[in-house]
Amino acid sequence: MGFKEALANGEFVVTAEVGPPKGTDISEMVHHVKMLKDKVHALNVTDNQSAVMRVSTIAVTKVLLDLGVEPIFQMTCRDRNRLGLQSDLLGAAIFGVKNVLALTGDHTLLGDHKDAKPVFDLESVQLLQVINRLNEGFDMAGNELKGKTDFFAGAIVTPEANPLEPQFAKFEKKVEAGAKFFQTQAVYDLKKFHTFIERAGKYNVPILAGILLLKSAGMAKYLNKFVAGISVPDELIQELADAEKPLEKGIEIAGRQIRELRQVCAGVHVMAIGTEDKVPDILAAAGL
Amino acid sequence: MKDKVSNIKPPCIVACPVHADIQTYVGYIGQGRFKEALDVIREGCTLPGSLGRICNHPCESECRRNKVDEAVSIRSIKRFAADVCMGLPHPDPIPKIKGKKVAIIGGGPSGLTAAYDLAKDGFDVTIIEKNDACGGAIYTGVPKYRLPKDIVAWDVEAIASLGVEIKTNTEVGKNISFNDIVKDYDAVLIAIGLSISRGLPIPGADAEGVLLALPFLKMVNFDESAKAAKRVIVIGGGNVAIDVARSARRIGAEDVKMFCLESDEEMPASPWEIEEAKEEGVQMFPSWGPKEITVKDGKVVGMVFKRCLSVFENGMFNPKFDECELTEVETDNVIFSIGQGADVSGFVNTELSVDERGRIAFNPSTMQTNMKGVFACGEVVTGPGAAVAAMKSGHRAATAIARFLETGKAAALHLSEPTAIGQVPDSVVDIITKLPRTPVEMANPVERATNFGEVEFGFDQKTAMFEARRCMSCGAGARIIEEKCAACLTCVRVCPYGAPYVREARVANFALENCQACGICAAECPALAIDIKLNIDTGIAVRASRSLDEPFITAFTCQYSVPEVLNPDTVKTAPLAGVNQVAMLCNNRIDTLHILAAFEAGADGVLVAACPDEKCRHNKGVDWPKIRVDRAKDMLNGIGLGADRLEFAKVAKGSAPGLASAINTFKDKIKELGPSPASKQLTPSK
Amino acid sequence: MIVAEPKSLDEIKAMTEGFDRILMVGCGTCTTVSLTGGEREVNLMATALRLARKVEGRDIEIGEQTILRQCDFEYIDELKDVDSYQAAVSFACGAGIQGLARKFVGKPVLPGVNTQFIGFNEEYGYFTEQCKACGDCILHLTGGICPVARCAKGLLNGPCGGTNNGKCEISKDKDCAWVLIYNQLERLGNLEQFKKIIAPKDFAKAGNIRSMDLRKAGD
Repeated sequence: MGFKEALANGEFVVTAEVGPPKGTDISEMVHHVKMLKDKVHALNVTDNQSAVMRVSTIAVTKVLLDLGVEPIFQMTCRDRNRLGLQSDLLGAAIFGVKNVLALTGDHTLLGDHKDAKPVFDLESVQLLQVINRLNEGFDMAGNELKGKTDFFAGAIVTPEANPLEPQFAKFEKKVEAGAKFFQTQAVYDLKKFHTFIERAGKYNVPILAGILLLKSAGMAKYLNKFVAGISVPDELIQELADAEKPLEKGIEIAGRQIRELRQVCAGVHVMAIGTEDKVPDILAAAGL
Repeated sequence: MKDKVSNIKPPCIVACPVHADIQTYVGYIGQGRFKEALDVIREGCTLPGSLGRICNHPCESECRRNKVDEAVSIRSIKRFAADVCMGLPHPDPIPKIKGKKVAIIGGGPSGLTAAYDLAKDGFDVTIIEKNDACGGAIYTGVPKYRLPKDIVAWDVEAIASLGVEIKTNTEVGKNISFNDIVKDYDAVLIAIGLSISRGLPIPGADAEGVLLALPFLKMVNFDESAKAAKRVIVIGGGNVAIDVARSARRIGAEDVKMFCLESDEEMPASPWEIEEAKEEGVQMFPSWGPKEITVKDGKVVGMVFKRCLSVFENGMFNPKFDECELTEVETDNVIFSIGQGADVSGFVNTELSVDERGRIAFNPSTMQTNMKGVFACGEVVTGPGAAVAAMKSGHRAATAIARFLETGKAAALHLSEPTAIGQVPDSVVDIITKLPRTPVEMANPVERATNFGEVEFGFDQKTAMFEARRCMSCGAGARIIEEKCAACLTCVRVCPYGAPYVREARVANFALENCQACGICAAECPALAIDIKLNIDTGIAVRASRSLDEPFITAFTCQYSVPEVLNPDTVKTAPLAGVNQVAMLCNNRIDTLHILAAFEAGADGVLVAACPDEKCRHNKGVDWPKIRVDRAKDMLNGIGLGADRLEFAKVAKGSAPGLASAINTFKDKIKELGPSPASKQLTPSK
Repeated sequence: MIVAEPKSLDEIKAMTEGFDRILMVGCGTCTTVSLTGGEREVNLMATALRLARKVEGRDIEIGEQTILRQCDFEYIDELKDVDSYQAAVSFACGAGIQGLARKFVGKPVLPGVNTQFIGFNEEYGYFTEQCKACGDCILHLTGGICPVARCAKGLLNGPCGGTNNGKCEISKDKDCAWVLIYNQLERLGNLEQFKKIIAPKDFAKAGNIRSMDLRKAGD
């Protein structure tokens, strides 16, 4: 069953992600995709993630489709203007891509081509509107398309952003702009997350909570210090610090959190940058 | 440059009757430029040795430092300038290029001052003095414990050395006739002062033992055997009365009592004089008026006083007494010190008019008497006052005479009077470093009351320089060059004292009250639109015939970074040979432009001395120069000279030795680096 | 005002290589106020360049003149002895440099500064960009705080996910414009405005060879 249908049916949906490699050798990536193939509903394909140049998303989504995996096409506004964005969306649609995650994208200054000219002709909210317009059969300029798209558009939200209010207001705008599902930044403080879910509930849009494997107490502290919108509670850091094998403890924590999240949200999105091989363990720990 | 505020001066200068350029000479002392200081002093105060001791220094009362902590000890600084230069040769004679002769009758402060000005102007000046030496009241009247006679003589010699002829022991009406003088000279100035003491026509005033102040003081000054009786009463409350009382103590009087009409607060004598007299055992009895002198066998035995209720009515002298409240005091001597009159006996049977008070009649606007070409100045026309006030009158007379001799007629003088800068605002007071006034050392009161040794000791070099550095250089700071100002507000933002403001005028203005002359703004202004009025010495020497073997160092320092022991004739201070020291107004004025200019002038190395003295009145003598040095270092790297050739030296407190050793170390470093590649002799490109 | 930063001496050395008589021209308006193109800076650069050439073993002549503005011909015409120089270095913004170049026909006009932005003078020596000259002002929609100039991505509909404790993802020293905007709209009681989706910007208003003609069409 497809991603969209699973959400519609109220299944607890699991997504993970795959990062296109830097270079033309995709063997490792293919290995990971095969490993996850039957364990998730869909795989996100990131778009020059963290503003680091990699294989194009559209090419990798094609690889996934060929392997029989449903991709979620991540599209950022950093590297293309409105012409590029629209034409790539049309291209993806031809390949059979259904799911698009509309993102603004990290700034070029955070990546490996800091001297690049960042585009940001559009941004996430506007991109969502554009996708809906393409679904209606028109481009941004109002020209009619010969053959329209049928995208299932989603967006992201950071439930633990500080301050939360402007972020939440933007969440509302994304819903208004046509976001049909949300994937979130990694959540650790489930109390805070519950509050967010309660507020977001009235919009009746499925939310997939972000899960990021904690490999050690040090990593947790690093996330707290340097990554926007992530706050790992002190108890979790202590639990990791006390553990003899922190990685296994991390997997245990992730599994535990997924079980708890099952009660409150539509699914989880497991981010596994560099630890793709642990995703099955996490899902096992969660009883999925 | 437009200078809207040219006639606004520091209050010290405004308060000084002769408007001596106090700020400049105090500044010179602070920099160790003693001879230059003395030259500046003389332009206003023509008797620096004497006035450095006895001036009533209205400048200090008005000093803006009073609001911050205490006034700068200006008089003592002046005294130091004179004392330290006493071994130096006097000024050279001035050529008498004007070809006109001026006779000055009376060589007191006003006559000497006029003589100084006229001689400097190239007139042929002769002073006709009835005593055996010039000085007038400060020679015959002021006691030696306040002003030694050799100091007066030194001051007079300096004026004589300009080419002024002095005829002593020459009294008009006795040794020379006034009419002859008028005939022989192109102009005559009468400056005879007030040389007669007044007494009171009360019963017993003609008894033996009743004396008058001036003859008494003259006796004390010139008769070494003079003795006073055991008990002395001095009548009067002015400075002369104090001189009399204190002198009486010194010639044997054990019991000296001063009686005056005025109340404690009204006594006209300077407060410090009253204090010093009290310390020496003089007893004060204010608010008593003389009623009669008790006489026995023709001699004074006592005196009766009546209570004085008030002295003035509507500002006029009109004493009121309580005739019922009397007191009788036993005494051996009564000395009247209640005022002086003019001795105009030399002018009887001449055309010269005398007014109803017995003084020379004159027109204060032209300084001329009723006789054409005959002028008058000093106390004989102004009445009694301070020596420095007499000097002012002398300056005016000299100006009047010079104009008369140039134009043939006496014209009204319109000498513009400066106005004073206002008080330091409270907000600025708070951030100025507090530096208490250096006390002047005094001889022990018990000991000093027994002899005529000087009561007050002058500053030594170190204290004089320190005290001079307390001067806030009022009003000597920033001036805007309006046509360049871009109204960018940089000065407003960098000034620690809130001096600059940009109002409707759309150009920067500076509140003189706030400006502390630190120079930060001038070194930051992007349009070079700020001038500092008191630029000490921004001259950057050009390496001309210097050998290339020895490093040529330019050292930028605060104007006060000077060795502590100097020769009085030091003109330019350099802590080390071979170093071109550029003394800046303040380290805050040191500019990146100055540094590069020094290299362009051929320096092999440039040293910027951070403010060595934590007693600097500016608290930020380190931060700003550091920023500018850093910028210059960056540029030197780009230039190819390398940042190594520029040093920012934080010199420890104690200035001179620290600075010298910093420069020496730096010199060695530069020697290793070799001559600056930019100082090589170059052939111009085609 | 237009803010410019000084070019490095190395750069100025390289571009003036081969010239012995150079005119350095300061601009008395924007770049003076931004502390990088006034009489002081011209004097400093001229001295530095002369020294640098001396170190290389040659003497060059540099004229220093500062005029009120370099974006007006009338002021440029005030420059003296222009013909005696081989090249000019302008310390004005890009507009001034080009203005000078139009008068210096046949001679190179070189930039002495890097024009940075339209900025605000926050305090002594510290300037911040406030305006991108986008040609389509939306400050009335954003609480008087410009997201085009002050959001690193120029977003129009709220903060990105990189906002962190009110700071921008590109630097902890820079405020997140959208947090500022949110707070200001809240103060103004106008959060409804925040919720309205702002359409993609019309970059046609910013991206062309722009000119503005206020003259009346007169046939």
